[in-house]
Amino acid sequence: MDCRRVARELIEFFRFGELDARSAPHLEHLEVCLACRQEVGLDRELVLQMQRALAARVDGHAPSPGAWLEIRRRALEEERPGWRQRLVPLSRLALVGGTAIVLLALVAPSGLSPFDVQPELVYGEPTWQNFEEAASGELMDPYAGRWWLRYATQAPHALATGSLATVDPWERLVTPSPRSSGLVH
Amino acid sequence: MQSDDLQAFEEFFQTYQRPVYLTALAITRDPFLAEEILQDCFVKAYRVRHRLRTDVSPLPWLQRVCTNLCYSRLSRRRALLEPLTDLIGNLAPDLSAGPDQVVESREIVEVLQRGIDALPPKQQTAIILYYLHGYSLAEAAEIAGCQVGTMKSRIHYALRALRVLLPVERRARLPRRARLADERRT
Repeated sequence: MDCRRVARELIEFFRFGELDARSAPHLEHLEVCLACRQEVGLDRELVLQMQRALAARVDGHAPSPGAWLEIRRRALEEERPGWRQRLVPLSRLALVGGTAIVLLALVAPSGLSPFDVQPELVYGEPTWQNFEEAASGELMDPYAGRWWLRYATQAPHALATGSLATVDPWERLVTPSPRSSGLVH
Repeated sequence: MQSDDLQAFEEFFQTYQRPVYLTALAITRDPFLAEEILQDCFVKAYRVRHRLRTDVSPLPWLQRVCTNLCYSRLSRRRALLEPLTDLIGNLAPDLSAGPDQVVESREIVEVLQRGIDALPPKQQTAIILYYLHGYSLAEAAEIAGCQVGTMKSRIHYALRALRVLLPVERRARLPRRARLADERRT
């Protein structure tokens, strides 16, 4: 039997408690081979000394009686929510609230929705300034004439009097007359 | 142990504190640090108490958390330790003294202590679990999160590294590579 193989296998058998019937030839060889005995003996001694070394590290030591109290304190402290944990619900609430507002704005009736603004309403109703500009023929606002036109053709007109009587983009002079119905023709 | 009752957790702590503390102490060799690690380990266990399985022992999980905590704490300190090769180089002249200056068992133990400190973390954990706690190979492998064969291999390499620290006359039949390394040093 090969000495190297015997020693290697026997060392493993001893180390890991695997000595059994299969080890018989190895043990027979060990009886007659001094070199293998030394090799296996050296490993046994190494393991023994190492176990002593490991035991020396922990002998006479134990956790202090205060260990549990400290663990208990830390465990209780962890259960109490800190300021960060308290802020989390607030931030969630803000997020949910913001989302709700946006959704509400999207699904609200057209008149109520801030996104439902008609383009022509941006300019608002015609103002006195529009009339004056139209009358002078110098429209400062290019849309003002359109407003004036819309107002003049669609709005229920009262009798044009005073300076307004001369304001007509089609140059149809409306002369105030006591017999006129007041409507512009 | 899944209730919020701290009393139940205290019983859990009393049951498992010692093996966890011994592992931390064996790795760190510092009682104060070992106690801090013990506390960290059980605070972690308290945090995940609802997820701990009741049908199996929590000890492998606790030991694994403990070893991870140990090595993360020691990572800075370990960088300051001498690499194993340097350690061997420094010790070799003393250990190769004549037979008349027989190295006492206590001295060998001290040399081995330093050798164990210088082992890679996985090998160190392997010998602590197997030789200090006396866990079976399967248990040690479960704690370390590896195969049984891997655990055997780690123990084998750890012992081979430690064997080089023994006095020269007591390791006459070292593998060829280790013998050559010895000759180069002397």
